[in-house]
Formats: sequence, structure tokens, C-alpha cells
Amino acid sequence: MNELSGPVGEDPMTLIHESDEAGLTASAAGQRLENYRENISQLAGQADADGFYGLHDAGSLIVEALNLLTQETAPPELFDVLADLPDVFGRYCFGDETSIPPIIQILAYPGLQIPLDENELAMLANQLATELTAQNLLDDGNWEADDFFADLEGTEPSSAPSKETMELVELLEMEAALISRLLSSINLEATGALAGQLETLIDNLERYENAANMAGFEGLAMICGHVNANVRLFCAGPGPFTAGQLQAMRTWISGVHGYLASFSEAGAGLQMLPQLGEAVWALPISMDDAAKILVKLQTPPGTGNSASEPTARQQTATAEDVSLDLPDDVNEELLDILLQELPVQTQVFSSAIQTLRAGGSLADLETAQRIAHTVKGAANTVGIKGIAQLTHFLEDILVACAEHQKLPGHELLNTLVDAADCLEAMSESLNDLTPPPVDALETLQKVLDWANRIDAEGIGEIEASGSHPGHSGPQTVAGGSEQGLGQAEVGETPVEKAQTTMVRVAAEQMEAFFRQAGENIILNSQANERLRRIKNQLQAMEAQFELLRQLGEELDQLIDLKDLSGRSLMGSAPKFDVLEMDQYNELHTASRRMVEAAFDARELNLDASKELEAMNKLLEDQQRLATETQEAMMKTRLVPVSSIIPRLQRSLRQTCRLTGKNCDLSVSGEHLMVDGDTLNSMVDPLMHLLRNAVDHGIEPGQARLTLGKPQQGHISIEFDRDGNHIAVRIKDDGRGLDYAAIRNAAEQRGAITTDQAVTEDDLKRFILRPNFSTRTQTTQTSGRGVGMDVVNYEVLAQGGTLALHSVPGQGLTVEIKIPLPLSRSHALLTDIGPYRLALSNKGIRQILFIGAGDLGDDGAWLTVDEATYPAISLNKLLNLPDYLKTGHRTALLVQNNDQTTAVLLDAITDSLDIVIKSLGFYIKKIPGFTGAAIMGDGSVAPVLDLPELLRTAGDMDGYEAYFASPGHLPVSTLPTVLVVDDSLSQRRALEQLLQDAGFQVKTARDGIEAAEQLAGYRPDIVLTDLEMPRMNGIELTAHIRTREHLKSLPVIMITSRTTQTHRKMAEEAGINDYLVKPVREDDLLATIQHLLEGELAA
Amino acid sequence: MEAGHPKPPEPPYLGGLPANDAALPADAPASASLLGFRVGGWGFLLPISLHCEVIEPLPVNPIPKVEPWFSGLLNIRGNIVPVIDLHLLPGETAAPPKKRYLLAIGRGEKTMALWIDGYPQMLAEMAAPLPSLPALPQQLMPCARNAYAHQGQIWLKVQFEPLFKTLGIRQTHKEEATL
Repeated sequence: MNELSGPVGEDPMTLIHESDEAGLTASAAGQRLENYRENISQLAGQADADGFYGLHDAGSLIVEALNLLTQETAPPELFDVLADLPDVFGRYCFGDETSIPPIIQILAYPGLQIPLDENELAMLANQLATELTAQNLLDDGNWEADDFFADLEGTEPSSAPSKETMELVELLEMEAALISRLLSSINLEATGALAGQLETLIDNLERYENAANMAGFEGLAMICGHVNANVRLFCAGPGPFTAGQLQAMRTWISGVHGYLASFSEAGAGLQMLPQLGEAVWALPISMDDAAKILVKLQTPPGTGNSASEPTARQQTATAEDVSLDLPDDVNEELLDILLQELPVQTQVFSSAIQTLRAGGSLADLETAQRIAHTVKGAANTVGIKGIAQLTHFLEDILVACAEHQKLPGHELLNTLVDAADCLEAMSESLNDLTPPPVDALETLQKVLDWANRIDAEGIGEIEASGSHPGHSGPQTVAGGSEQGLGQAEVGETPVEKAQTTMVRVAAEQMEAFFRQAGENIILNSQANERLRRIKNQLQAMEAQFELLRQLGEELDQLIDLKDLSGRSLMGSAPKFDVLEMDQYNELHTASRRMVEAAFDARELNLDASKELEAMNKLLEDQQRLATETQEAMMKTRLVPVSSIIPRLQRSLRQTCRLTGKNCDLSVSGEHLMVDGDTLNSMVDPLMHLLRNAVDHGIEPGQARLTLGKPQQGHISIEFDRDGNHIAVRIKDDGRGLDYAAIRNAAEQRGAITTDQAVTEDDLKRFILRPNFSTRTQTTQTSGRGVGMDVVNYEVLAQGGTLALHSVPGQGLTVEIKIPLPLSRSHALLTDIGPYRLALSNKGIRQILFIGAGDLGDDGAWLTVDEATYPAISLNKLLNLPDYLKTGHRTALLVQNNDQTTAVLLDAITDSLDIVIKSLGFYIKKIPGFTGAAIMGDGSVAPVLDLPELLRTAGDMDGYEAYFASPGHLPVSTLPTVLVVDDSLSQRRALEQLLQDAGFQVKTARDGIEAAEQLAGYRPDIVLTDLEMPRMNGIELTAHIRTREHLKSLPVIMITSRTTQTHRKMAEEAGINDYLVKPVREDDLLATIQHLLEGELAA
Repeated sequence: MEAGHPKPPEPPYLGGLPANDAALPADAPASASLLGFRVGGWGFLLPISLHCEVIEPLPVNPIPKVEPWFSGLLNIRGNIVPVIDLHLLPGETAAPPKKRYLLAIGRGEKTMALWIDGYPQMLAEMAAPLPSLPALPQQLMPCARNAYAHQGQIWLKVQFEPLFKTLGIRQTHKEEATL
């Protein structure tokens, strides 16, 4: 009973204890017994509330025993025994195991007559010890039981938690509550106790860190360790522990509560980190550490790749698993970073998978796995479930492959390619705020199936049955770029690039900077122009001063002569002056002074010239700087061509799937940096051309083998910079243009007569005319009006050109040139009458000065050094009257395609660097001109592109019909789809899909809106949802079937309703097809094709 | 200077002030909401909210090989601005006066300048439009919304942006057609 006689703390029963010393009266003893009963009952209740069930039992047993005692039967030493009870109970509550034997001893005290035998007491002791261990409670230092009881918070432990993780969390929550109470009890005024309290805190935090680590909450453990380090610094530091620091600790521990309550949710623990970075901490957390901790916080046990047992993978993907919705409390900064990184990462992932398919190595597998892991982590951090889930399962698959050193087989690769496509589409969707890919769910399910299959059967088994990864089956498309997207480049460069710090700036502001940088150059050249004039003036002045000096000298001599002659005339000897002053009069003095002044003026002039030289140098430096600034600004607008390649490859793969052809795509020049707007405007025409190449150009596999070509078709896209243009060549190795069919079609349209002689070049131009198609049938991919005419129109609308080079049986090359918005160039200036023209140096090979004798045949030919060139005057090229003077002139040898032409002009007035500007928003392009430039004097000179001028001068026809009537714009030939859906995201998704597939898309929000639109035009097909407000899809279909002009209009119903009743109702209303969401893109396109063909046939 | 066109006139210097910011003439209606200017026989109405300015005399730099109504290019504070002469639209018969002004409509890249016959004037919103549009040059027709008769002048409410676009496309493509 030694422990019971120990020191008594200030417990609720201190007063009782003190009064004991005063001696007991009978009534006082009764009262005292009552007080004990009440207080021990209270302690037992509290123990129960705290989860100390053993202690509760012990307390209750004592209370029951006291109930049976009266003041008479109570032994006198009872109160001595009970006096220590609050102390031992308190010590027990604070984790002191040594408090258990005294409790048992009190229970065994014979005076209480508690009916427990030794075994039962041992069991109770055991229970007390077990609970104490479970709670992992700690030694009570200077704790005061008052505080303990007073500060108890609502940390009631839940009974028997079902999951292991939840149990661990509850444990951690309880311990956090303990630390919280510890912090609440710290009294900064009581400096004596403070040191001890902080010691206790450090011990508790250490234990908490260990506990968190053991429970798998590594992030929490890291934070705890960090906070503990701070407390140690507070203790060791010179200053006192401040209220601010204490408050920071309290805020932190409440943050821990928050984290534990929501640890499995996205963004959990995020709010804890900024607070730890505040200056109040002796050691604020660094950004790097915070990032590391955040990752750990986001991957607690039971989520992601935790250290604990892996949970069974789900079998079925749900819509939620592919959701790209952002969490409500999304961290914008993290999101920004993700949005910047994601396109690069997904592209590298896609490339790695493509390389694997083309026979890659384990290194590609590792690249893909690494990226899947990185993207998964980032998506989890931001909270985008769709991407996180997909990459999670992908990573599982890739890890399994890597572990077994097995490259994925053909079938698995197909799924991986689909997944990579889906991932890229998801990334685009997030970046453009466009709807997510419609086949995401299906793709995720496929990936999930593979992951589960690998788990069940093992990768080795599965791969044994798969084909070799190096061989693509006939239905697949190898889309990997041979030159561009090789491993060496994709593995490192783009990722590294993504890691540089990025700043988002409004495009408008960049435009303004860019324009101002251009203005700087123009102003500088204006200043240079002024300088040049001043220099000329100074030179003229210098000449004048020289003249003045000479005249002064002459005058001086004349005066001397006059004096001499005057003296000789005088005859007699004059009076001699000692200083001979008589020989110099005022005229002498003035003339001398004039000579000296002229000399001085010349000196000053030379000094001024030197200053101007210095000024000239400064202006040159400024010009260089302004040019560099402009170039730097220009770079901000530039994006690599490679950024659009994934889209092109997806389009090609899709077309191949639809046509059943096998084709690969290689790209060169993808590192070329091009103005972003220009590049984006090229995507549509390029996709059209790719589809055309697959559909019209590339022959079916068998036919290719018969022709001696490889079974797989090949399309290459070359990007190139050509002066102020970007040139793109799309080459296929297909059948080339079918001139006979083009001629046939042209004859049928009455454009030519059967016996008319037409060159191949003329025939090429025919296919650029609106509505010209050699196909008699509409096909899915490109016979839908997406012909060369549309591409040509789109290219021309941007001021570009389109040329076709075809070799029958060997393929077609389409060359597109699109002007870049602004650039600098060297130019020659010339004047023709009132026109001042700048000739861009593009294509100019040589400048020659020629005599009349060099021109033959009335100026039609120029012979230079025994070479003869066709000659034409610039005036003629510009439809201007001939201002040319006779005699000597200038000739420019201009290279245009394979021909060199001599362009004759009067004279070149200047040669200078210019900034080529566009002609404003409204006038996109004047053929033969690349734009205009502001000259040094502020005037504007149009800038000529001589090769283009020569080229367009040769094209005498072909465009007349094209532009004569706006009604014939080829856009109208695209088949129109009306999409009716009340969901904005569905409408957008379908709109994008169908537009990319080459349809003109109109949308309506419900049946009524659709019906209103149908009164104005007739689309080629209608896609409608079933359930919509105002008028549903069935009613809309019925409406269509009652209208005479719409009767045969194909209607496809796309709905999530799967029951036969709905299907039957829709069929009765007259739909042509019924598709259930989610619809595969290819299925939808195939259905549309089928129905359009059917209507055409009808 | 300008080729084949009258020499650019010298309008009163307004210091580059937007025409619609310039002090209202004494006889301007209190409720002025439109800016009216004349070209040939036609009066054109601009909403007062549209940015426009009568610009100080600047040389118009002509371009060869373009439509006659495309007078050339102006440099307005570093922006290259095309100049349109509505007098020379096909179908327009009235002869331009000797003294003309340049009116720039729009801002930045989206600026076009027009030759106008007199200084622009402020006008109040006009009541009833004429029942139908009078015969107009072909390019003007699709962009003219309403016509009004006011103080012996026919005023046209024209949508200038579509008009400029039409003329721009016309210029771009017509040349390819006529080469």
C-alpha cells in the first residue's frame, strides 16, 4: 500500500482529505462517505466516457461497496485508503502503468468488501493494462486532474471499428486530443511548470510521430517530427515560449484533427501546410519539404500505393471513375501546374507506347510507367479522379510488365494505345475546358480488365498467348513518328522543358508588347533616317566651310596684291613705322579673321561629325537591342509543331479504323517553332488532308501487295519554314490523282467538253473547285464533302496557297503554305510612278545592272553571261503602264519553283531591313504581296513577294468561278448534323467529335428548338437524346416524320435508357437507329455513314 | 501621293481627337446619339459609341493592282490602316468634292479609314425608317440596315464591320480572279 500513501495532488477530494485532519464527528464521517461516493462515481463515469472501461468498472465496484457501507460500518482507515484514489485514477488516465497495482490494491482492500476473487482481480488488472497499452497513453508529468476532466473534448471513441485503418485513425485522433489538451493546459504565466510541460509535450510528440509512422501516416509523422523540432528549438532558444507560438501549436493540432477526419479525401491535409510555413515557427517549413509532405499526406494507408496490404481492385469502372470534375476546393496553383505539365506528360506517354508498339524496349516501358506514376500522383493531388484512376490502373499493368521484364503483347498494346489516346484527350479536355472523351469509361474498363486479368493469371501466362509486340495486325494503325518522336527526344526533352517556371500572361497583353517592340524598330529606323540626312547636311556644310576658307585665302592674297600695287603707285618713300603697322589696314584684319573663322567652323563641323558617328553607333546598338527584344517577344508566341501531332495521329488512327486500312504516319520538322494561332488554324485542313489521303489515296492492303507496295501505307507530314510562310507537305504513297476520273467528272459538270484539250495542271485545279468530287458515293471518312475544295478554301482564307503534286501510282503530295503573321525581312525599295514598293528579298538570287543591248526580242529575254532568262517588267506584273526609262536599268533574277525569271525595274532606291506587317484585320491578303512596312519617313510601302507575283501572274483561271458568287462557298458542301440534347456537355462532346470527323454541326437544346431550326434548313442527319424538356426525342422524331420535306431525314437516338419499352416507343416514332450511352465514337460514325449512304441510295 | 484619286484634302486639324469626342457643334441636337457623314449622294450614320476619328492630313500610300475603291494604306500611330473610297464603289455616280476628309473607324488592327465629303455632324436618333432601301451599290446593299430621310438627305444605317469584311474579302479574292 506504499503507493497509496504517496503525495496527494490537488484533486477534487483535497478538501475532504484536509477536513479529515480536523477529526471526525459521526455526521461529518457520513458526509465524507457520501462525498467519496459521489466523486468516485463521477470519476468512473468520466473513465467510461474516455474509453477506460476497466477503470470504470473499478470505480463502479468501489462506489457499490461504499453504498453498502454506513458511517458506522465504515472502517476508520478507509478514508486513508481512498484518499489516494483520485491520484492513482489520474495517473492511470495519463498512461502510468504503475497506477494499476494501487487500483487493484484498493479494490482488494478488505474494508470495502468487494466480492472479487484473485482471479477476477487479475483479470481486471489485465484489462486495465491492455486498455492502457491500446490507448498508448503517456506518463502524467505535471498534469492536473482538474484540467484533464475539464478539458475533455468530444473525442468519444467509436466502439469496435470495422476496418483496420479506421481503428488506426481513431487511435491517432485520441492521441491528438491528448496533445491538444496538453497544449490547452500550458500556462505561460506559470514559468516554473512550463519547462516540464514542454518536456512532456516533446515526449508526446515523439510518441505521436512513431505512432503515425507505424499506422502508415507518413505525412503526418513527418509533420509531427517537424513540429517537435520546433518545440525543441523553442525550449533551447534564448527567448521565452510566446503566446503566438503556443497558438500556432494549437492551430496545428486542430489541423491534424481535420486531416484525420478527411484523410481519404482529395486535398486532405493541404490546409495544415501553409500554417507551418508562417514566420512564428522557429523553423518554418520549406516549400520543398511541404511538397514532399503533401504527397505523403495524400497517400495515407488504404489509398494509392500505401505500404499496407493492397486492397482488391474494383472490377467495374463507373462514370465517377472517369470524371474530370474538379473538386470544389481545388487548389488553383496546383491545378495550373498540372495543366501545364499534363499535355507534355501525356504526349510523352503516348509516344512511349507508340514506340513500344513499333518494337520498343524495356526503357520505353519504364518511361511509360514513370509517367503514369507521376501523372497519377499529380492528378490525385489536385483531385481529378478520371485521370488518377486511369493512370493508376495503367501503372499497375506497366509495373507488372516491368517486374517480369516482359514487353506487353499485341492485344494489351492496343488497349494501352487507346488508353494513351484517352489520356491525351482528357488532358486536352481539361486544358480547353471542352467535354471529356466519350469513350473514357469504355477505355478505363478495358484497362481495368487487363489489370485484373494480370492479377489473376499473371503477366507471364497472358503474354504467352499474345502475339509478338513488334508485329502489328492488319486492323491496327502504327502511328509512331519515325523521326520526330523517338525515344531519345521524348524521354527527356519535353519533360525537362515542362519543369521550367512558367508564367501565364493574357494573349492581348503579349500582342501589345509585340506591337510595341515592332514600333521600336520602326522608330529606330526613322531616327536612323534622320541621322543619315543630318550627316549629309554636315558633309555639305563641310564643303561650304572649305569653300569659305579658300575664298578667304584668295581674298587675303588679293588684298596683299592691292597693297603692293598701291604702294608702288605712291612712288615716294613713306614715313617708316617701327611696327610696319602702316602696311596693314582693317581690310587685312577682317580677311584674316574670316579665314580663321572658316577654319574654326570646319573644325566644329568635324567635331559634330564625330558626335554623329558616336550617335550612329548608339542607334545601331539600339536597333540590335530592339531587334532582339522583338525576337524574344516573337518566341513567346511560338509553339512547337509537335504540339498538334498527337491530334493528327489520333485522327489518322480513327480514319484507319473506319476504313479498315493500315497506315503509318511520320512527321518531320516537328521541332519547328511556329506562331500558335497559325498552327491552330492549320489543324483542321491537315486533318481533312490526312483523312483524304487514307480514304482516297492509300489502297487497301491486298491491293497494295499486288502492286508491289508494302501492305502498310505510309503518310508523311513535313513542316518547313519558307520565308514568311510555314510550308507543310503531306505525302502519301497511295494511288495519286486519278486524272481520268477528274476529267470525267469535269465533263459531266459541263466544265469542259469531251474533245477539249486539258492539261493535268488544269485538271488539278478542277478538284479545288467547290463541290467537285470524283466520288459517286458518300463514304464515311472523306466523301462527305470534305474534299480538296474545302481545304483549299480554308487555306486561301488565311492568305495561304495550296499546291498538288501527283505521280500516278506513287502517291500525292499536297503542299500548303500559310503566311506567318509578322516578320522581319531584308527588302529593296523601288518607286514606280506614285507607288513606292518594298521588294522582299525572298527568291531574289541576283541584282544585275543591264544595258539595252542585253535584252532580246523586245525585252522578252535577258541574256547574261551566256545564260538566257525570260524577262518581264515589274510594271507588267503589277498591271501598271510602262514607266520604264530606256537605257540602263536594273534586273532582278528571281527564283520561282524551278524557273529563274528576270524582273526588270528602273532603279533600286534603297536597301534596308523592314518589319512586315499585315494589312489589318479586314484585308487578309493581296495576292503577290506579303504585307506592308512602315518606312523611315513614316510612309507605308506594300511589300511584294516576287515569286508569288510571278506565280499568280501565270494562273489565269481557276479562281474565277470559285469566288464569283459567294453562294458557292464550299463550306456548304459539308454534310450537316443536327445534335439535339439538353445536356451542354453532351452537345459539346458530340459537336467536337463530329466536327473533327468533318461534319458541319448544328445544335439544339430540346425538341422545340430543333423543330424551329428544321423549319429553316434540312440537315443530313439528326442525333437526338430521348429525354429532354418541352419536347422529347420521340416527339421530335414524330414531328419530323409528319413533315413532307423531312420525312426521310435519318434520326439516331442516343440515350441512356436501355429498356425495351423505350426502344419500342422510339422505333414506333420512326427513328432509324437507337444507340445506348456511352456510345463508342467509331460506332456512332459508322452508324452515321451507314444511314447517309442509305439516304443517298434512296 | 494618291494615284488616280483626288489629292487628299486638308481637313481642319483636330489634334487627333476622336471625332465623336470633339466639341459638339452649336446646332447639335441635345440628344445626339449618331454621327453622320456624307459620301457622294449618301449620308451614313454611325452609332456615337463606335470609336472613330477625323485624322490629320496624312499621306495615303497607294497600292498597285487593287480595286479602284481601295485607295491605299495609312500609317496611324504605327497601325497600318486601309483607306476605302466609297465614291468609287461600282454603281456610285456622284463626283467627289475637291476637299475631302479622312475618317478612321475602329481601333488598332480593326481600323478602316473612309474618305468623307464633309466634316461629320452629330445627329439625334431618327424616327421612322423609309419603308424600303433605295438602290445602293452592290457591296453596300447587304450591310445597309435602314434608310431615313432627314433634312433633305437620305441617311443610311450601315453595319460597318460586315461592310469592311465584305470589301476585304472582295479585295483578297477578286484579285486572284482577275489575274
